[in-house]
Amino acid sequence: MQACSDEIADINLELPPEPQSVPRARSAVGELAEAAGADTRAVALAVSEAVGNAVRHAFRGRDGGTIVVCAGTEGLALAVTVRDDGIGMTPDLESPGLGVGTALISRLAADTQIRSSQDGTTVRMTFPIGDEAP
Amino acid sequence: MNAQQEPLEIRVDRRTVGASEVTVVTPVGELDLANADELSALLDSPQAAATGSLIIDLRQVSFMDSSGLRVLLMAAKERGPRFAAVVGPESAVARLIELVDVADRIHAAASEDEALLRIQAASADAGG
Repeated sequence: MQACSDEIADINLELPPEPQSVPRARSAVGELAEAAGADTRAVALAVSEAVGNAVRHAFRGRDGGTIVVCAGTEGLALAVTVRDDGIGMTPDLESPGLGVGTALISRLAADTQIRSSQDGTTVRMTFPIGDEAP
Repeated sequence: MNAQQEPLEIRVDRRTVGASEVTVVTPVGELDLANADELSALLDSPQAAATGSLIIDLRQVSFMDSSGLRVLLMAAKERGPRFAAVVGPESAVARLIELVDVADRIHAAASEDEALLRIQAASADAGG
């Protein structure tokens, strides 16, 4: 899977699709958010939901896969991308989740872009930093 | 937030309110997809189910995502008015509950005393 772009490569994590990847990603990006002056709680929750969605849904019926988390500052924003090489966003009638992850991400981030195909899903989020942060 | 997530600590206590007993479960740490099943399993155990009434005190939960919230909603659905959650003001947990707008569904209270009073009132209404 394609690595992080140079612009947002302060953090570049390759994680397995397992529950422990959620706190690992949240911790790493949370520390960067704190250093950058972003709303750490918002970033932590959004990252937790995005990685959690990938772990729960992206690899149903498949063995293995990779979740890549990239984060870095872009001007007055912290940009975070969570990308998986799973099955894409498809209905999951047996979902163990609440189904609010994507809605939460949209409310927490200043801007959210989601791209999904049969090759996987990419969630890109930006959060204001410094004086721009809430 | 630590690089390696600390194990979730869960304390279980009993309180007596009038003629009723209430189980108070206090998770300590971060609550997410990696450990929400631990809390869910404890809530389903005889240890937590013995009293019928349950309070989850979330004031020592430093982070919670929708995986943890799902466990609370399931517990609230099973126990109805015999369930309440104690939520610290302006905490990360309070923010999540506000964002998803479920304070009423989990019978959120600001203190254990308030939660106990709610359950006591519910027990009295139900004749127990």
